[in-house]
Amino acid sequence: MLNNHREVENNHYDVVIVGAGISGAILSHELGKQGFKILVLEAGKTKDFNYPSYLDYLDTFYTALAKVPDSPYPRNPNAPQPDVLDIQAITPDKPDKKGYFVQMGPLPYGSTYTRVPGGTTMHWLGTCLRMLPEDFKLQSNYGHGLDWPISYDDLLPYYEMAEREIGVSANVDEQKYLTLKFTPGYEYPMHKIPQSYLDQKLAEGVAGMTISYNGVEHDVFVSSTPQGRNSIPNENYDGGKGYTPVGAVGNPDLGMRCEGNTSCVPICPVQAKYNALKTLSKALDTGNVTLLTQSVASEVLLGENGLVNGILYKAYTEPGSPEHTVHVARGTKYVLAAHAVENAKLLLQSGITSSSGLVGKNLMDHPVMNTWALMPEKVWGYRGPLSTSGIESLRGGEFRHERSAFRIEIGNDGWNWAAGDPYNLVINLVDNENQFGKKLKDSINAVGPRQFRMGFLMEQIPQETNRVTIDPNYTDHLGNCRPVIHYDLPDYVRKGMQVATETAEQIYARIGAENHTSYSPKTDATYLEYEGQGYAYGGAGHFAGTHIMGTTPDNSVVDSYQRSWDHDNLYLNGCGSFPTVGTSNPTLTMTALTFRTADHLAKELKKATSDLTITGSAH
Amino acid sequence: MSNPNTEDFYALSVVLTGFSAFELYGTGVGDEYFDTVKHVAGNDITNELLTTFRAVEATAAGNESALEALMQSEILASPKLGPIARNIIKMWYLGNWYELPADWYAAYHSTGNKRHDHVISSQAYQEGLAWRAMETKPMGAKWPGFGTWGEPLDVK
Amino acid sequence: MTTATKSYIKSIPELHQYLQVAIKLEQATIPPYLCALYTIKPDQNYDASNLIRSVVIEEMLHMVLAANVLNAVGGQPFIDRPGFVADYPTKLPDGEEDFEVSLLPFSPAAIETFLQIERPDAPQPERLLAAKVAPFEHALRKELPDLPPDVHFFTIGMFYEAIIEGLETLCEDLGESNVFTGDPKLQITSEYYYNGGGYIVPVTNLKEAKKALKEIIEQGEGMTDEIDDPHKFGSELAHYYRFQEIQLQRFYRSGDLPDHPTGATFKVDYSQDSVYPMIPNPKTALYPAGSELRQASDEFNMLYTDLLAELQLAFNGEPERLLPAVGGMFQLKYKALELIRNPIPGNEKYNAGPSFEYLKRGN
Repeated sequence: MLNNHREVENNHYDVVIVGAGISGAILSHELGKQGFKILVLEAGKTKDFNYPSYLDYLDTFYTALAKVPDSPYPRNPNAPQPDVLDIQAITPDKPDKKGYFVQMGPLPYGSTYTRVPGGTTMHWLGTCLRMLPEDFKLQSNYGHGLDWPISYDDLLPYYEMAEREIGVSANVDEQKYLTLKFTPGYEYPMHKIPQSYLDQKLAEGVAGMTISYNGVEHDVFVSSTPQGRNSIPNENYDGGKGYTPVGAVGNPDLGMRCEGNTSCVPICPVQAKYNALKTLSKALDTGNVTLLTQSVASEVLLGENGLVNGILYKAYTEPGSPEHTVHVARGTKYVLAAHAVENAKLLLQSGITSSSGLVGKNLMDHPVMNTWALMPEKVWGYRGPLSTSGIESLRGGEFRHERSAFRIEIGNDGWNWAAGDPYNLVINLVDNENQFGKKLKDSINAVGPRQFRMGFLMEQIPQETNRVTIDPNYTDHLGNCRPVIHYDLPDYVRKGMQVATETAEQIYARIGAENHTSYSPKTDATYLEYEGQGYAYGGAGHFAGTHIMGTTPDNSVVDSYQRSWDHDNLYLNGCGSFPTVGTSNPTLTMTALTFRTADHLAKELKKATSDLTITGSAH
Repeated sequence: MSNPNTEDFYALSVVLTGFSAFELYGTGVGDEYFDTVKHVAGNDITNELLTTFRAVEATAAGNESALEALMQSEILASPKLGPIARNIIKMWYLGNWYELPADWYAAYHSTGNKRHDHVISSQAYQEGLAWRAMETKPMGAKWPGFGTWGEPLDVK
Repeated sequence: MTTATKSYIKSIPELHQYLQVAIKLEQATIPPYLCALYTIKPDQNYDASNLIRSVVIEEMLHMVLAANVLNAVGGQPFIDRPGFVADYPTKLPDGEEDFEVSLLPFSPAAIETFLQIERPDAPQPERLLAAKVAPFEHALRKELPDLPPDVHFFTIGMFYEAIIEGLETLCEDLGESNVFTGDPKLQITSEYYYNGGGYIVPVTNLKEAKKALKEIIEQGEGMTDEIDDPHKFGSELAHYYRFQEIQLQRFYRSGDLPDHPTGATFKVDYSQDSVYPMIPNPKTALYPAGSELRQASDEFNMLYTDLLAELQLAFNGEPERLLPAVGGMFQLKYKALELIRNPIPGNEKYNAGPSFEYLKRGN
């Protein structure tokens, strides 16, 4: 891939997009195939779109001592990214500057993202749950946050587009829980991913179970998780047209089905899991999309009329060297699709705080409270996709007035995420228990095949105090600002954790599992307390809320099309637009919003062209 | 002193790991592990470890519990040989080398090569015996094929 | 001496026999290719191993396609029975008699054999003369007793052409609907077969049967004067030429003439730095009784036999059995790799290897 900056500077594009992740890929593909000229600026390192090049990522993962989400994607000082290994407890009034983020606390923000072509879909899990209809009206229903300016019904057709593009596998009949509804006759592109043996045993175990919250009984049942990974195509999809799975980029025979590698995060070795390279390569095939890599957007340039008239970017030649050249990309419309944090940072760095002053504010995540246990019998975890089912039936209810709702992700990863096994298990047995030989092998076998995890993804309500800011004292190698993060979890979430813990205990008791969950301020950087009990959480990678959408310039940064209230030709695309996050993993909803924005942008661009024609003929 | 013998290394590894020689050779990475041990501990200490093992093995004369007790007292409890032996176990199980404590170097091998914590190789990660002991496969490698995770492993 | 061009298939039972031989033939090529592939050490001979892998995947597809055709014409594929799998070294069951196929590590000799297996149609006259005909020895004659003694198939393509001729003749004589009498539910479709290598063709009539058989011929031999778009998706070039690329250590590119690739060169290393020294034609009996190797070889063959049993069911009305069969294939691979990495005690030169022997079930 040759970056020709001179040519770019001489061009005027229909749309300049910042970020080649899933949003940028979809926007550029949707608009590029309609003939619009698109420029995509990507901060990450240039990467060939072939399979051997992808295998370099895999090898980096194999040889990484800590196989954290970003482990396959090398650190790049010119486009730095947060890393799980940098997360530590924060000393009050002492900024934690260890990683890319400057963490002000009081709690550390636990999530990470990836700055490479394809973005964080390179390491996402692939869960594709829709939000519940009630999630769009959290304020009206439960008195928290801000209602979305659109409803579930408005987003419904775009959910379907998103499910096609990502290639979602699910059986629709298993998804009609709580208030979720689908277009009559709707089918997902592929049949559900087979549920793990663990899922099946858990489902048997909780069959018929209910749990009481504030005197209201709630059903507890296991649902297969809709997910963006290839399964058996559904011949009834799309009115009987069926669906063809999309395999690996540059090696399409590979990845036609999930092969069960159990490493979706950080990397699917066969690309059976969707990643944005799949859409990006289609976008490039339109011939109308130019992708510039190693080009870090550094300032949004505003004209006197308040419209954006360029994106200033810094182009570097080597990740290891801060040497760079500065260029400006110009277009009719501009979309920041760089990630919730990067979008906010870029705006703030450009002096854009918005009329509402909400740029960077309301930063959210789904804090994941892991619980872990041993099944009474072997279930042979560490197989299949990292998660194939969840308990979704507790995502909605009146309890949301007073505490977080949650979904429960059933982990096929044993205690890998929860407790660092098999590493910690082996090291403890060898170093502390002096085990070796057959006894060691047997000790591992006695627990490993019985290990499992239930992760509680806690809904986090928006608070302006949880925010991304910048400070000129903290910059990266190219002189761009590092995000400064203020983060805490309110009692609403902490109470949710308390209920989640009780819920886990009841489920474990019901199925006869040995609960081994424990949290400690000594080992958990995210340790927190509520009513005398300790809890800890990990990041879900679900950054949201840094440029929320709403109904007026006073209550939000963007409108329902993700268009900036203040700057008519600027769009802020991504999870940053979420006013609330509900309990569903956000990528699918973000993708639906992106399709809606693509529709809107196409109409606006056509309108602009026809206005121009009219103006032209009037002369 | 002669070069440490590969077969001795595998024989020791069988006792340390509880896996058969077939399984150990079958990983294809044992030679890398042996090279790492020789690199860090040097030929003299490696030979001492292997010689001690062969002596212990001869003394135990096929009696398993005797062998276990002697392994513990003569090798694993030895401040000199124990850390190497435990690292051999961890290499086989996890594919990783863990840096030996500074005390060890100071006491026994002040000129020795220091190796920080690292994954021995891409292949070593994929051949870690811990996964086998758990009756599964390494995360991200040796894929089992579509849908296999829906079945228990003991029915066949 | 006559080459088989016109139809020697004069009845439906004969057609079934030929198609059963076809399935057997496709299957017989797989173990030798797998041995070459699996003996390549990790991260070595990247291009060569990709080329071999692409061929193996297509051979698996061919086996399924041949089974689809057999099912379509009312036959019944037999896989899970003694005598189905070859005892290496072996001659190919389609009557190619001038060479033997062995299980070998990745080596010039192995590639030479693969070129023989996949040799293009229109045999050279000198090759015909040199052919050592041993008709009585031959598996084909055991299975096709009515084959005229002077008929030989010198290439796999010729054998398939004969089946196509037979299908056409029978359809003319009996009417297409009396030939394609199989239950469409027995067809394997892309629902359960997904490993790439081309498209699976469900077969219910003559047109589809010809399409399936032609796909086999073209992928295998791809007779053309010019190499057309060789590496579109990495698997368009005929097998013969893919193996020739390995032999010549050079890729074909569009416009090349056969035998003269002019594309990028690549390195092939046959030395022990890059290849495990597997013993030629491994057999369980080579390993000492009671040894771990012997036990592992038995385990391998048990997995192999189980896999054949799954395929038997998959081809006979339970296509969903292909899913566990794929799982079984991966198990087989990992077990084969273990064998290949193990030295044979007392043998200075060779490592063990997978023997691909059919085991009779106990009880």
